Amino acid sequence: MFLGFSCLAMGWIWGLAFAPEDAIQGNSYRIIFLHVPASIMAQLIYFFMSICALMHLVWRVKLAAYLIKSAAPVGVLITFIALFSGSIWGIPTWGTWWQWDARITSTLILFIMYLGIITLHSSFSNAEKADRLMSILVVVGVVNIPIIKKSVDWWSTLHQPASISISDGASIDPSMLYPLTISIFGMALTMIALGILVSKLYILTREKNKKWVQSHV
Amino acid sequence: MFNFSFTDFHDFLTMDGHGIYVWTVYLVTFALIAGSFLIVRRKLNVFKRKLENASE
Repeated sequence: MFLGFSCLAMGWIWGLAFAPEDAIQGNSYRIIFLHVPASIMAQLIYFFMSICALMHLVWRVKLAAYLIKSAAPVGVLITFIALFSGSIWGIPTWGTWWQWDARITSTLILFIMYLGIITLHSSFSNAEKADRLMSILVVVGVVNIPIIKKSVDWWSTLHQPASISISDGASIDPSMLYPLTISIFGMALTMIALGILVSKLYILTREKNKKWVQSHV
Repeated sequence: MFNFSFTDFHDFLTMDGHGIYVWTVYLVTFALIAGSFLIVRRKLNVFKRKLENASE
């Protein structure tokens, strides 16, 4: 947690105070050091959940279902941050806080998917049945992840293309890329720390009648 | 690379009129993340205390 917060603070301070001003967007581009890490994490968390869902459905791993249920609220939080920061960034750059374009709409669908997963699980009194149905929903919903990723290439959108790509490298200057990379790393560590904490709480609550919980506490 | 990008602290806060957008986003995000950690930690402590009381 401490390492995550430190990296995040370092990336943000570097990006806010020392990175140069963008030639086109001016200083509003500094939201990138928060928006891009949040967007990447929103998709990675769902991808992680889909792997857990497959493990639960194929091998009946109980812990995998616990991890999905714990990761979903973290996904809600980070997807909300991605949507919120994008909307605010849109005001000075696009002149509007919302546009029904492919990237933004598919990210909104991701946010609704996270909420749907939590709601679905909570609506069943039988926890095992809820775990199974939740896993199916997660696997079905993973189709949205490549749509989010490729939306800026497949459709003509208001949203700019990716600043960093695994195949094409980075399209931004190193003076902006370094703080962005540190921010992404810091956000990942922070979300992992939060996820571990939520998982701990959920597993203890779910297994509270088991002997090992009594001895653990 | 580590040159301060603004002329003074006031310039840093206002960011040529973009400060309101930039600072709002960072402050709200910080509050949400820090708040989430605090809420989960508090819930975990309450749960542990309840279990301890129940086992006594």
